[in-house]
Amino acid sequence: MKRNETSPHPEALEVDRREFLRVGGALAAAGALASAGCRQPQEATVPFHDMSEKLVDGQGQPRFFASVLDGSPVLLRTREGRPILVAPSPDDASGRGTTLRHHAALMDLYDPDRAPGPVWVRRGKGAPVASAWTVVTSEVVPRLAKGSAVLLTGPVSSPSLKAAIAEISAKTGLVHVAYAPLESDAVATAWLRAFGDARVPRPRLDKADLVVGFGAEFLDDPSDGLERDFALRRAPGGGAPMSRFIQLEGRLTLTGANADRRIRVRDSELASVAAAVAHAVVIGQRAGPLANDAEVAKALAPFAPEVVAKRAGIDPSVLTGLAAELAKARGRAVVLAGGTASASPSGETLEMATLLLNLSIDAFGAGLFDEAAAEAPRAGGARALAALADDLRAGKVATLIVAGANPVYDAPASVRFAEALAKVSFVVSLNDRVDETAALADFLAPASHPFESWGDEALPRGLFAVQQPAIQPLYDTKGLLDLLVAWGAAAGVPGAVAAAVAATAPAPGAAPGAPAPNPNPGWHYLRAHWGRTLLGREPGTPAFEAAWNAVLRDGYLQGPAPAAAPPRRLAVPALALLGSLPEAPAGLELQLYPHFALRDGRGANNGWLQEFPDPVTRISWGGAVSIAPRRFDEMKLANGDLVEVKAGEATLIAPAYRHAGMHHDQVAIPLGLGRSACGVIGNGIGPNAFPLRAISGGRTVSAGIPVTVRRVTGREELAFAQGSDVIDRDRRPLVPATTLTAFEKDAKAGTEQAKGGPSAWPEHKFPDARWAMAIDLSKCNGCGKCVIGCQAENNIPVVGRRGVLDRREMSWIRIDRYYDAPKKDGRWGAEVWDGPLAVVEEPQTLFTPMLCQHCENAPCETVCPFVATMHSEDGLNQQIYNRCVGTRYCANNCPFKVRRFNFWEYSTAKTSALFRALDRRIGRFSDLNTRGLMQMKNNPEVTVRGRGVMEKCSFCIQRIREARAAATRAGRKKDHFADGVVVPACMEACPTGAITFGDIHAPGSRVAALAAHPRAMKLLEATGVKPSISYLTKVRHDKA
Amino acid sequence: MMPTSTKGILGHFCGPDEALAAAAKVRDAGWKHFDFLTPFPIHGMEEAMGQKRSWIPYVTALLALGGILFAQGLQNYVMVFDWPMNFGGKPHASWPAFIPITFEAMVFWAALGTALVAIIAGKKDTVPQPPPMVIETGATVDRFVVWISATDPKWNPDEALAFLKSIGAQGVRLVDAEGGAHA
Amino acid sequence: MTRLETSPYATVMDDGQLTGHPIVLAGKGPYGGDLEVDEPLVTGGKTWAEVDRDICMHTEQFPTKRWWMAFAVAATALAIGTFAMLMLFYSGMGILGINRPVGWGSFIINFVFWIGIGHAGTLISAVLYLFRQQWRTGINRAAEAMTLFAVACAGIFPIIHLGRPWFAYWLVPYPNARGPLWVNFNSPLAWDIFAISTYGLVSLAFWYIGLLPDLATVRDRATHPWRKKIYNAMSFGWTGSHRAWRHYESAYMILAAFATPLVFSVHTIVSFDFATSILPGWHTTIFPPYFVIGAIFSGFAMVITLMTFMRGYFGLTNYITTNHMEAMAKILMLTGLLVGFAYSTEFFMAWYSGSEWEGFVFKNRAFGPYGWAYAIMFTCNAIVPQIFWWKKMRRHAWVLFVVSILVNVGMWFERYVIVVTSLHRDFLPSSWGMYALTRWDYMILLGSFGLFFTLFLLFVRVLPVIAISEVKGVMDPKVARSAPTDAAPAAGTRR
Repeated sequence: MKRNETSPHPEALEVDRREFLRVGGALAAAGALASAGCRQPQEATVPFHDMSEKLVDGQGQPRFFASVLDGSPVLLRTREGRPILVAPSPDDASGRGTTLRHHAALMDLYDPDRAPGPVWVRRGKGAPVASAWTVVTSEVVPRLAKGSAVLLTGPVSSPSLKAAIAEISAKTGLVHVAYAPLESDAVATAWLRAFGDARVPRPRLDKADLVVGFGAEFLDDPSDGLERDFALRRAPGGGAPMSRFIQLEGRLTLTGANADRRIRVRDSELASVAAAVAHAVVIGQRAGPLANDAEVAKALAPFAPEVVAKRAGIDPSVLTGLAAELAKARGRAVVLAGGTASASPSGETLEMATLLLNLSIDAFGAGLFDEAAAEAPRAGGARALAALADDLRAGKVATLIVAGANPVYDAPASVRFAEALAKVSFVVSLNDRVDETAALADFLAPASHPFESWGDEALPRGLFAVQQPAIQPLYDTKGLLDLLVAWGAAAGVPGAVAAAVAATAPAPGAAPGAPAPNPNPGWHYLRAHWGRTLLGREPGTPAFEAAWNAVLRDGYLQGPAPAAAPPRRLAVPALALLGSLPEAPAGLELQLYPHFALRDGRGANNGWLQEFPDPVTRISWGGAVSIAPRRFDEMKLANGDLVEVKAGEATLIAPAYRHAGMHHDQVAIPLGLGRSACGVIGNGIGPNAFPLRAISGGRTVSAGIPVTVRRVTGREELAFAQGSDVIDRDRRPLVPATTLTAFEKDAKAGTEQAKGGPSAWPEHKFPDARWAMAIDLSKCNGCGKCVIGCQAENNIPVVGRRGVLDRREMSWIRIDRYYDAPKKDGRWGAEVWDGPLAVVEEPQTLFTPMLCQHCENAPCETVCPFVATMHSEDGLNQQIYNRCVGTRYCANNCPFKVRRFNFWEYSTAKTSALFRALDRRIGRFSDLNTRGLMQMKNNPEVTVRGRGVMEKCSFCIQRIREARAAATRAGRKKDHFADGVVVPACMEACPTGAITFGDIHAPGSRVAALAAHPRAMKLLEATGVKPSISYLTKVRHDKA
Repeated sequence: MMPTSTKGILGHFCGPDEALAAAAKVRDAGWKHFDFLTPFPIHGMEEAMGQKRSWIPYVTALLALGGILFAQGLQNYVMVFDWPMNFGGKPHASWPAFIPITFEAMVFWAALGTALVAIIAGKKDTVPQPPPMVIETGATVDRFVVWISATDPKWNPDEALAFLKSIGAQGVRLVDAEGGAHA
Repeated sequence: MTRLETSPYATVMDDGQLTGHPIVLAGKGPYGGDLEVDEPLVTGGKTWAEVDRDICMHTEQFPTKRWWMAFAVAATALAIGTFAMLMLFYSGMGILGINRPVGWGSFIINFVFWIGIGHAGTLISAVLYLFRQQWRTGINRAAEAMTLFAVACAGIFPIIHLGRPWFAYWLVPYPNARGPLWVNFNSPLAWDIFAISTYGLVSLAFWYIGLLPDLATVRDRATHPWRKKIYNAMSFGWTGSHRAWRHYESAYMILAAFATPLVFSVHTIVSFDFATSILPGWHTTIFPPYFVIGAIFSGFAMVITLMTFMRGYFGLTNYITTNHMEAMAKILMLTGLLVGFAYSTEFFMAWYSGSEWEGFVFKNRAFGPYGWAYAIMFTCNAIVPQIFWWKKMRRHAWVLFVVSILVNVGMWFERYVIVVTSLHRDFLPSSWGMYALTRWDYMILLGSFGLFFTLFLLFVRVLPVIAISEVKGVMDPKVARSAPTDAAPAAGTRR
């Protein structure tokens, strides 16, 4: 009866709740799936502490679980035993951030293409057949015991998993190889050589007045949580002055799109340019501690700004000016690199130059790096992978266990991994499906999703988090830790491993009726390991259980502080890195960057991620060869024309895209696409660019690769989620934006627009609560987590590539990306909408989250004859689905085009073969949304819309009404609601606090203050629709 | 010698002008229950037959009024009293929006009502009631038929026969219930 | 001029002899001057009896092979459209070309197109009646029938363009168990329901009232007892009694008086669907007159098309003479001019308003990606009809036919331009998009034409295609009367 110790409720009620949850879960699921689909875990998984008192009687109430996913703490929202929402952990002390993949993880959990159980794959010879765990175990264990086995994994950061592997290796000689396709070890190398310690401290962007990025991508990959700190200093008029961000890069990244100033430098030049800036600071400005360091001077000598600038094709004054700015901001500035550019052959040099800059502007001394949060970057392991491939070819490996890696898909072509794999006598894959690698294995022993299994995670600042499951495995799968421990024990590994397995058996002489012990060895191993290393007590002892439950509640534990960082004194030999600078390619060079949503492509079968449009290119469902606008026009290309990219031996044919702000001599292709065996949703979407990569110096190289691009016949339409790219704010003031200079002159700058005439009738009164939203465009960086959060919360279907091509996206909130047409004498003609070079070569990017504006005079309401949309007493523009008959008149009359129409039946499977044949889209849509357990992700609070019905953002009305109901239950007044009582999904998901929602009539409401802010602007005032959403000016820091 | 079942007497003319002249004569001769069956309406026939102008327009006026009241009543009841809702911030009783339907309803009631009433009135107005069993097939082709009903107060077959002959009607004959004719 | 000697007042002419000018009778004026006599409306020296025969014949004989061929084509088109519609009901709007931003597509275009066609009939019968245009008698019956069938075609589209057509009846404000949930009377779509249904039913009544005497004629010619019974019932036992004629005339006049403003109101209200929105390019005060003129324009074009057919198929040239066709050509030219004027006014207003949105929409209309559609529209509607400045062209059957087809092509594209170009690029550039019809759109458009012609072909089989009694009324008795005779005609009996 462990669970009762943790329960705030009396036992009977507690048991009832368990009962309820199982039954309720079954009921909720009955329609869509086998009711076995959602059972509660039998272990004591403890609800999130802030919520526990809200668990009135379980049924109908959400339950929250603090867990950890891909190294970031998350908060799991479950209903009737089904995880239905992944939100960032509200009290996360680790500083780690979430990425789109975290928010979209539900789709991975309920992915119908996961293997339903063990599979005998037969090395791809003959069709795979279902197998059983007993069979797989009997096949694996003897071989494991025999030795000369290799375990190939992705990066492993789970301490207990590491420990388990170590124990097994010690006994059986199992060799562990970890391969992370996206990691290039440049950073680690540079820091190791410079300071003798590879750990990298966390830059304090919230303390920096000036941030200079050399191909930095901290917004493109926000897992390290920098975007939060960054945003703290991006809005003017706050406490601290606004920070200035200068980015040097080749491809326009999301990070670069948020820069105040952006300088186009291609990846292979970045290193020397960074060194040149260092030269200008150290030698030119004679600034910083390195100023009189002869060694440094010698190392930097070849990088005189004039020389480098000439080579890089930029004005030397740009570099010297940058240096001057840095020198001026000494102790208040920080320099960043570490993006894809660092994965170029000159990556280590780039990192080294960046280090020099940080040293010479006292970034370390002034505490612009949080040493306490230092952690070692993930290892790429390319050298190890190559070595492994050679071993396989040489037949030195008898057994290969693949867990979480997929080298057949993502290893560079030169490794020829598939062919090497054929040389191994026995291969078993522990991935969750028969993917590219598993297809060549003997067996697939599917591992459970992190939401289904136990694990743990080591976080920065000496924090440790427990990955606690929120649901029992949906399929016949086992947790990775469970598997390894069980197999290890069976292979005769003594100690903790054996003990963990033994603990799963009923204790001898246990009283009849006593609860059976937890059957998962991984759980026992985990607790034992925590007991040994962190809690210092034996599992089972009351003290341990109390501590353990506390950890489960909070989701993490403060462990021993990590070793102090070494003094940041430069080791002279490291300067050699500056000398070893490879020659930049003469002609075009290629950058292979991780797809914004899919990253390395592991989650490629995730409809939400596939459909999410890249925030910069706005391409969804696929990727393209990004070409600089001028070159694109010279090649007489149109978006979607096929081009052939040739890098060394590897070639790739993919559609071309006119990428604004791309360096003229650089092209770029996203990685993570073109999966061939990830499932029905992701197979064959986009090109697979992984083979184009090379391994040099034990690092995977994905940038600065010399290529040739030529046009080939044919087209492949690109699924753009946006119409026109460019906005001329003189003509269409739809995005409030200005510069800091102008803002300081006039706080209202940038919000100018035509005023509307007087109203012909008296306006309606909203005496009590009235809901409104404010969006600070200075804080919004366009990351799009709000989009996924909304999609998950509101049961928004996936429309697929075809649907996006048909312009039928369903997402209720979208991020419009505009390139601001600079002012010019006279006005731009119509050509501005086609993106003239003058606009798109050096683009000024603007992001606008666009959702239903809940206009006070909503034009959509007037024209609906069916009374399907009307205004509520608290100022909401309501859409009543079961009244809607679908004239689409409201959508036509909506000036913001935020209303979404269900052109198809997305929520029920269409099986008729005849009609599937008549229009192939019918089958596709039902496959994207209704197969297997997919509908289990649905939020029971939100109606699943049928076909022919209009829908749109509801300001998460289910949460608003829940708050009202709660107030009623508690007997509180319902006329006004304090800030934070209602948090819509987009606001919850937003990492930067750009979105503020609340009751604008409540005393001291923040949204009211923001709506009255001089930077606030309501769109299309001239039309008199009076939106409820205020946009706060995007201010660009233009003061050097 | 005269069959009791005689319904009336008819004869015909070959042109509208003769018919018109004849109508005046029949009227002046004091016949009341007489009628002219013609292929198309003849201008001035009403006066010639001594009939008043049709009363249909008054019915139409009432119906039109009814339509207006119905529409205004319905719209105001629904939008203001029964379930007032906030549509795009407009007032509940946004009268300009009610005009189109008011007009249409007026036309609807008036026009359809008029058509219906006219058909019925046309049947009810003929003599005798119920309308004569017998018709002259030529009356829808090119004959302009004069008909005197046996229900006429001053009905006398011989007199009628003589009279119709005297005003130049052709093919004059008495008509009985079976539609047979006698000279 | 030989014919003048034969009968100076009662002019007997053949269609071929018509000139479109009055006949000058030298020295025949009351005071010895010249006398101008209009050319006869019915040529060929027809008698009233012959009129009956010529017109009723087609309802009495077994249909010709040509009729069957035409019917087969029409029915096939209808079948294709029906199949596409079934597909639509199964799978939803997805199979169509509509998207976001273009939420209205071919269905609304077809709806407005057919409603427009449906305007000529009532206009001819009502307005021309009030203006005492006697030449209308030759064409009004068929034109009114065309109106009804066009309205029927139009009526289908607002229903199938709904996402959930099976709930279309919710648009009717009747006490219900949904609250009662009425309709939103602020919405132009709610106005449409009243306008379209009123227009349809009033046109039907108007048409049927006109039919009564002719149904009696058909009855009296009928030989088969059942045929007699059916047509008698349909004519409510019409006898031609002048006591009935009296009410009939009065009612017909009143209906005309109501139908006239109705015609103008219907397309005005249809134009409100666009004019009351806030969308640049839709939000325009010129729309009501602009739409009404366009409707008359396209309606007359369709009448000309059909009349050309009827003249050819049924040899009705003596009743629908070249003079009739010329009169319609004149109206076509006038309305064409007005439509062209409306197009240019729109541009002036867009410029004069000084509004960025308006200005852009109209530039985009004419020179944007849909410039081609605008070009088709402008050429066919504003330029082509100007050929009728030449009398020769007005009286040339083939020119009339071709122009009438072109005009309706142009009018379809006018609606295409209005609906699509305004929607596809509105306020936010981010949500701009393009629109194209899918094969299903085309199939359903084809189906609507199939329905229209199927109904029309059935109409010409069973009902008199020309208003017999009205035509008789405008014929010269001197020519049309039957020879006086004493032979007592057979007395037919009823029931």
